[in-house]
Amino acid sequence: MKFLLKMIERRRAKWEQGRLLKHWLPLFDAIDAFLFRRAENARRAPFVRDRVDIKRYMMMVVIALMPATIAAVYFWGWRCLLLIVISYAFGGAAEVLFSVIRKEEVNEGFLVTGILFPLTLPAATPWWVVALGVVFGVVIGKEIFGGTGKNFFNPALVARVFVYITFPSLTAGTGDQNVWDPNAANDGWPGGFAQWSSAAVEADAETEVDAASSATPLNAYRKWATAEDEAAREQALAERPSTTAMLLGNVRGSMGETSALLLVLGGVMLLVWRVASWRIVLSTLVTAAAFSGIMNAAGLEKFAPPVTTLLSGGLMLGAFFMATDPVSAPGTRQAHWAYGIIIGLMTVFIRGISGFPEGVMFAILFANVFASLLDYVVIQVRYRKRKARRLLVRQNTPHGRAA
Amino acid sequence: MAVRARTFPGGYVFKQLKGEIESGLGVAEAPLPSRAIVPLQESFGAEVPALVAEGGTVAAGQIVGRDDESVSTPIHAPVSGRVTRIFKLETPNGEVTALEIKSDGSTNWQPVERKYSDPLNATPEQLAETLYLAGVTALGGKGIPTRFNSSPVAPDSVDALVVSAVHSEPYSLPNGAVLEPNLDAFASGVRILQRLFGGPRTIIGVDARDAALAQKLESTLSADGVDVALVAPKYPAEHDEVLTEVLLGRMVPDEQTGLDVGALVVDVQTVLAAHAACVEGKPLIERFLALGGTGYTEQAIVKARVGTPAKELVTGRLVEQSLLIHNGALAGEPILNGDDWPVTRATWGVTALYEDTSRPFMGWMAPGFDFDSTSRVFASSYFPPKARRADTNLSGELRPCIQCGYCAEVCPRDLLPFQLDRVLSIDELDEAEELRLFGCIECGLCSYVCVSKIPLMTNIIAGKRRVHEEHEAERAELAKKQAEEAARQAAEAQGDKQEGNAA
Repeated sequence: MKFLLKMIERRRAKWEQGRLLKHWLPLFDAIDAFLFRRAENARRAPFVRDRVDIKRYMMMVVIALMPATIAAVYFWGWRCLLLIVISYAFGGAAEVLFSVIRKEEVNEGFLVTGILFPLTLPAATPWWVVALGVVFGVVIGKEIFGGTGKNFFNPALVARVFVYITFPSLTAGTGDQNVWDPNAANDGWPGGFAQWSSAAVEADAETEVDAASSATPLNAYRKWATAEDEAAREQALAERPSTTAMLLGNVRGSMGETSALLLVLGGVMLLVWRVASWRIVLSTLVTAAAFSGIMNAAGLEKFAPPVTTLLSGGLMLGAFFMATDPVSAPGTRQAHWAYGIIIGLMTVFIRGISGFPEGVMFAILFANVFASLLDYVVIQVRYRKRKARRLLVRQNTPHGRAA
Repeated sequence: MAVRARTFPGGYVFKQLKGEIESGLGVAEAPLPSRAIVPLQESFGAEVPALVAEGGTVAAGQIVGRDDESVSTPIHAPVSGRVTRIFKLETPNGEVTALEIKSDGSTNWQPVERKYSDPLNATPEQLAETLYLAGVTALGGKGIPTRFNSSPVAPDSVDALVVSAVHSEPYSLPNGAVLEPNLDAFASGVRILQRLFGGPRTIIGVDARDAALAQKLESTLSADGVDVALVAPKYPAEHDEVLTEVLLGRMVPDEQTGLDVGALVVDVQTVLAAHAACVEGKPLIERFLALGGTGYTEQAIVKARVGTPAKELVTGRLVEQSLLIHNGALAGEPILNGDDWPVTRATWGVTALYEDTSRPFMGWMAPGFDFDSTSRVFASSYFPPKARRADTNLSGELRPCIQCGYCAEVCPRDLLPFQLDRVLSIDELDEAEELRLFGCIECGLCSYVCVSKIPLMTNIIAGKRRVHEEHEAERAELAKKQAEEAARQAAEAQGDKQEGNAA
């Protein structure tokens, strides 16, 4: 790789002095730092530094999403990969453009946004919807707030809600057909690995059926719970996927969210690596399970039982990969608990009461709003005693300012 | 003795780093320096006036600077010879006057004057005087209090003595190497300090890795009412504020040290120096120094004269491309330039770290079998322990804070460094104070763990300075207003008088 390094280092001067090229220096720097570690050394204490950096930190999230991504390809075909590539291309372009405008270095946050967003979409989503969505998410969800680290909302979820509301028929998980079944279609292996897009995806793309009639586990459950007569109820019951199917992911839904098992696998890796907060994950999942269990036991059938709540829709993807986005989550440990509880409660509420079958993305965005407030409360409580003491000290010192 | 090591919330346990000083390494005697640099100001103390002139001859151990009025401790000539230069030395805290003494090669030193033969029968006042005259009172966060103004704290406020034999910072001086051959001297030093403060509660905190040493200390000192406790080797256990809390259970309020809550925290070297001063009459002109780090071809522990220029001390020991650091790798000061930077009484080591300027391909995706990290994203967390790589490379680029929370997790003072940095970056100084800006003890862990490579500690220290400056300005403003008010009143009074006269 020596020759590549030499090539890059030789090019640097050209970029730094070029009349037009110098504006694109952030792009050059990003490529340079991506390929070769910088030779920057500490000049102030501490002189040794932790080896982890933001690229590694973000990349670990991408790696943890790999099981779910591979499953997406298996269930829906290689088209999934195209959507991810498109998301990276357009999201990355928006990111670079804003770095150039702001004359700042390119941040690595979009490494996660770029893959997380397409995974929340059905595999049949048109490519231009993905492109539009990711650009919206990066620009409106992040850059206008000042870029990575300053955004209130999770950019991937902003993008998801944008396309969900703007193109409901294209992205809500459409199709009344039976779940694409690799066993039936391809005799099991190699499933979607041998196909560009599965039959069900093709059908979805053509029919653009109303969201409410589609057969994601949540839709099926709702259909069952709201059925008017016994016959309809029984028919709906037959459409409800089994727990095993939901666990493995052989159900309708967005490409990355169907296999609860693989999401948990990746999510637990994140917790072990200490990249995601286990407090948020635990409180979200426990709250959602407990609250839906209570409501369901109380006889409110629109609220799904705990197992369905946990395994269906985007709850696993949301709890492990979106709620734990450190930028839009609270920064203090204690607030993590409250934040997860809000997400869990709101998810169950929205799923049970609102017109939307799915509630996780709204719940997380809702909780994002409260992140700073939760931090504020935690800090106030934690420092109350010390503050009282400090104020006393201030009043007794000559330079004490009016408190 | 407590079997389980005591510990504290927060902090960080450093794994074995490369370039660490191996246990069992003995102390080597460093050669007498050709010249000594003697700053006339030390750590917390004020600058003292020089008692010698340029060109004058001095003997090792002779007091060359002293001022009993300001908070300070006498400064000694560490070598015998001639004062060749009195000049301004650049230090991280500004310029201080310093002497340069050319050594005449004599290893003799001039003893401290003592008015007793057995220190354990001497009065506390006599002992305090000896310690002051020997320069021992300059050690520790706020020194050892005596009636000579050697500390900002009053002498009678000490009711507990804490001896720190903890070395959790990477490349710090292993206490075993210093203590093992000097156990009796150490015990005698502890007794002297106990006598000095009228039998305070005494506790020795020993690094949990040195359990055998703790056993020996306990059997030596058990008759003296000394407790020996094991302290988990978690950085920054050796900081006064943390150790006071760990060993005595006393919370040290923000902006204060252990001494402010009655606990005098001293290290092994201070105790040995107290023994040397009171028993042998030897002033504090020598220090045990750890020469650790990946910047050395061979790590060592040396006994060197105070005032030895750091560069002279390490000559011939360094690898190419190494950065010299005064004291530890986490909270030390860089010795970037200047051949004059000396070993002082506050020095316990000169750390040298390899400056890695290589540019490995996709270095951030390396499996990292020998990477140290608070996160567990590297292979080093899942394979048998191996000495971790240590160099000055930042291993990453400066990025905005993403609130990962690592800094808050390791902070031993329960601060939120990322929040502090955020409010400081937008100049919200009041809010920074409310977030306990002055609770920071400057251990450096927040900067160490930062994923975004933000120099949190540097920013927090700068923030403290800015708040101080603002307070100064406010005080000046207030004084100005008061003066104006007084002048106005005086003028009014004058006017009234004149009116009265006119009437």
